[in-house]
Amino acid sequence: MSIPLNFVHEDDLSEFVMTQLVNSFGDKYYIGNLYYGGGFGYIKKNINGFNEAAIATPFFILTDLDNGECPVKLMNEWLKPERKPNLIFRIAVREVEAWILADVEGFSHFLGISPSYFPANPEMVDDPKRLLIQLAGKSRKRDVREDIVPINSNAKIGPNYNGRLMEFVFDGWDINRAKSRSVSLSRAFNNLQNFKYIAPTSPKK
Amino acid sequence: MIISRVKLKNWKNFKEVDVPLQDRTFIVGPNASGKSNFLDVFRFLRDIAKPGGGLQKAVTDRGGISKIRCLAARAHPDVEIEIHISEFGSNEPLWKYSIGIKQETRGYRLPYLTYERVHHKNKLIIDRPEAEDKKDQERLTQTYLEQINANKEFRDINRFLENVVYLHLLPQLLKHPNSFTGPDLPGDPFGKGFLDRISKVNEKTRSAWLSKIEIALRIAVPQFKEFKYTEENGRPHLEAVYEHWRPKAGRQREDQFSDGTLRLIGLLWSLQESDNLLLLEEPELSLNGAIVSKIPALIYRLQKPRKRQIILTSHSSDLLNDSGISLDEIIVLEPTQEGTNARTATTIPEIKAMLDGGMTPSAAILPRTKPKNINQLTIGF
Repeated sequence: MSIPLNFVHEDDLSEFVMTQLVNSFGDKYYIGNLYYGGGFGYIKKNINGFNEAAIATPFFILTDLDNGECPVKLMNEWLKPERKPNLIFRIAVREVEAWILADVEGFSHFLGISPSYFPANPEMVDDPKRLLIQLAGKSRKRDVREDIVPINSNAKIGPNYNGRLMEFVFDGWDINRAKSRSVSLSRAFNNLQNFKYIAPTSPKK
Repeated sequence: MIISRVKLKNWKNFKEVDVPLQDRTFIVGPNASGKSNFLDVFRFLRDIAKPGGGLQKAVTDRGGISKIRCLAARAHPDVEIEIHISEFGSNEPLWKYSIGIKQETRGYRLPYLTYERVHHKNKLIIDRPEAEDKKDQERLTQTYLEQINANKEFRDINRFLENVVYLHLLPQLLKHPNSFTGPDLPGDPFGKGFLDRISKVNEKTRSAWLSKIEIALRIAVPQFKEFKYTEENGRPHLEAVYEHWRPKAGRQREDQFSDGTLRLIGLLWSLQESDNLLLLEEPELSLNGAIVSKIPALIYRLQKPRKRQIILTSHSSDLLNDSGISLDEIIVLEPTQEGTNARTATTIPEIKAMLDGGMTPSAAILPRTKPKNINQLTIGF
């Protein structure tokens, strides 16, 4: 029987990546509700609520480490008192964009640029979003470039950043290639693979 | 009195619904899930009960039984409505009123009653079809509710239902009533005759209510100073004075008010206007989030002394962010293949758990009403 999995995410791109990850397990999961509030503040503020709710139904939370020191520390800080068994809490090092950059072959093809521009270890990049935008700026495909690169310095991302990257995540992103270059992605993948749903004691229909 | 429970079968989006309602009830759900159709049940009953109304008219005004019946209806095609009426603040049913409606299979294809029942304090006092109905089938094309001769024993229900107020104020309609011709809609749901409604209230009450609105507007609308009711050539008008460097300038009539100002006036007026069930359609529209976040508390304060029930639909996270809203007061609509499900937020375990974990009702509930695959919305263009 498929496990219903509710998503909690920081931004649209995380949602696409989570969807693609979960879909790679075929029938094991189906996606329930999506909880999204913009930025990590939303997740941090509401994490207790999701943790409590995970007693009744599984939740998959993905957040970015950003400038934090280490994922374990962040998890311990946020998740007090303790993680409930049906809560999958994963942290992308440092941002979910690094998971995109980790598929060097796929993403360089998508942008139409040489793979040699890509970092060997995307988890070591301080600001993966900025790097992703820089790389997109080199793209020979005009519409891709214009969608992803901000129109001027007063915007943080391009006008159709999410829409364009969604196209890549759903059609071009290869999880196997990407997880070979990202430990945090590989861990998230394994977590989803090994996850077993523990039904609440009073079973609901 | 309040409607403390509603049961529906095959009403529009809803194949089967049975939900308790509170003094203050919030209906939330995705677009086209049936929020307005849920409110329409009460308008439908009002249209049956009110003078000049009746079952035939209420059904015809909605385009016939085929427009009312749920598309998911199959084996049991009757449209059925049951409401429980209780005292304010209670859920003990004082009255129960229920009807089943079907359409004649030939002839004029009139809607007719398959049953009409009234309970008073759990005692069945009307149970149709009666012997008379069986002799004369035509009787079943009218409810007892709409007939003064027949509703003597349950006149309270009739009075309660005929006074139900629905408000979904459309500012453009109020600003330019003459541009929208055609017959006025019964009950003036969209505020076309809003100014006439104000003019009909006696002067003392009117100025008392308006002065309360004035205080609120001074807080909510920048530069707003004064507000009054005037009449010119027998036509009612609202006039506001805004602070301006030319002291005589800055005077504006309702047709120059902003949409938000008008909607706020409409909302504040309706909340004061009567003691009867008030149905509000998305009161947050055109209003600043900070104002919207005060609506739940405002409703509570104004309904309490009047013992008045208020049912509203909303998409607004500002409105549902109020942690003073109980999960009992929220009805979540969830569309499925087999029509829309309606349930109280308390019956959804993860919502309760999220609130226990410190989340607000809006953070816990509104994501459920978000369309799936919303990100693909822009792809087709």
